[in-house]
Amino acid sequence: MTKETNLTQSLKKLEEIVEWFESQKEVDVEKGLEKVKEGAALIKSSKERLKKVENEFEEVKKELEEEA
Amino acid sequence: MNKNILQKLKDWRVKTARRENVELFRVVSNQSVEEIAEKKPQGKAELLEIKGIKEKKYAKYGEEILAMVRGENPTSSPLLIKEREDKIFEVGEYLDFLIEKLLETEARVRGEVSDLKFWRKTISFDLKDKKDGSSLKCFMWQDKYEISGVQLEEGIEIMVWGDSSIRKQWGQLNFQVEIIELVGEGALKKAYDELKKKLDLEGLFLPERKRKLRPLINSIGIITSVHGDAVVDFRANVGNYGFKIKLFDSFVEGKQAVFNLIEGIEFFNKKYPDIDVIVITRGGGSLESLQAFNTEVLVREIADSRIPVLAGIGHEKDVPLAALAADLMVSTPTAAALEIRRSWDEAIHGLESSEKYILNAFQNILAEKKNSILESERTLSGILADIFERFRRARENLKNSLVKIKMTIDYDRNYLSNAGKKLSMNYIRLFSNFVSAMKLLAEKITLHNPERQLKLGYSLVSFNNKIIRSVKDVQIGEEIDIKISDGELKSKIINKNL
Repeated sequence: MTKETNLTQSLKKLEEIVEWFESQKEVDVEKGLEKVKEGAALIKSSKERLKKVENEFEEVKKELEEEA
Repeated sequence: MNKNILQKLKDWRVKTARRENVELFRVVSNQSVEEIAEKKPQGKAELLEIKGIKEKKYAKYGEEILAMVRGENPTSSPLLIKEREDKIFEVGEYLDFLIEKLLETEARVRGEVSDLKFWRKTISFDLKDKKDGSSLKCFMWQDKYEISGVQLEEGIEIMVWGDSSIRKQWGQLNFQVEIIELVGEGALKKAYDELKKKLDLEGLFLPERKRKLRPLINSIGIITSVHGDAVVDFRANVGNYGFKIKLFDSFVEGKQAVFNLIEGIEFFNKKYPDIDVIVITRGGGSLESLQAFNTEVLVREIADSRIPVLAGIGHEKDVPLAALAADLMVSTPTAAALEIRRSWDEAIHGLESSEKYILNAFQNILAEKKNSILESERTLSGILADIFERFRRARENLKNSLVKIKMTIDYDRNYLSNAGKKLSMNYIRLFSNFVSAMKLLAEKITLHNPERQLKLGYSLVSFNNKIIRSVKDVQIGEEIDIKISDGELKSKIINKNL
């Protein structure tokens, strides 16, 4: 769960960075570089999570006696 | 664990449960079955150590269980014909034998309802064959009747699914109905329309009831047949995003599927309340084969599920009511898989485009900065060139001005020296003119001087310093002044003559 939450947060942060770049009229190169660095880290961790991972598949059975 | 013993125990448990008309765990729990297969108890004492096996259970099933552990067949297994001929049955024993035989009688039976009776927890009726008048006694639990969702009435034609058994107290054969179905597309369609209208009025299908599937779904509970194409299609299309998929095997065909389907929804809500979505899915089918998905109890179960439900149920004209009650509905297992992976695909897409965008944006910023530096450089060198140019021009102007000044000075010097000459010449001329004019004037003045007239003997007579020109200017007795060349006289008017 936490991994997915992190991914969601990372994607959200990335979006914010994109918005930051979009909203700046006069960009401070230093700040821009900071944002790029932050973005690169987020992209790296998100890619890690988004790369192909085999699904876990399991057949589950109702345990009847547990209702006894 | 001994798999052979385990299987034998499980088969025996199923048969015993049916014979006694109880649920499986009432015979022996799953845990006990496994423990027995594990520990292989050899006698009563050892068997009693198994959790869930007490004296009472031992008295009932002990011998049978121990026989199975030893590898023998359970005593309730069919007797050989030879054995049966020799054997004299007690009544109960014979009925057990019959019940065993009746285990294979599961079927769907069609007929007309008569002698319908509602008891407190059960329903009984006879199912009549219209052609030959034969009759089958039917018995049904109230809860199963409710799940069926068919309102029984005398004389209607129905289909029942179940099997026959004998109630030992009464020695009577009963068809135990598990589910009731309506017969014919017309009746099904009518029931479908009525239920749809009823649930619609209740607001069960309203859009505001629907919950959105959470993005980046991680865990999925899927309810479908383990043998069907649906699960294959679903798995083939859902993508490998590390989903944790739990499959609850369920019938999906025919009305009896409703039990499994309800069980599945309840199972996930109870056992895995944290999963992100329940997917209930199967391929397309007719109204008849989809009956289970149009039963009120299942529809309500889906509407009440705490876990969001995604329905991917294929259908013909009429959308299954179960799908209408789900939070999201699509019409194939593949489409259901695509709904689930969508947010993942979007995340990857979004990630790629963010990556591109950020790098581009930064490159653009750098390029912009570079441009502005070049621009500044150009401006600066332009300004310098301008300054030099102005300086050059200023120097030029200065030089020109100096030349002009020199010329002016030269001119002025010439002018001045010439002017001096001109001036003195003019002055001399003016002066001599002036002198002669003065001479002339002096002559004129001398000529007109009254003093000169006085010398000639004329005199000036004035009164109060005014020259007297008329006798009227003075009165008799007044004193007048007389000026003559060598002095003045005062005189008094004595007389006036005109």
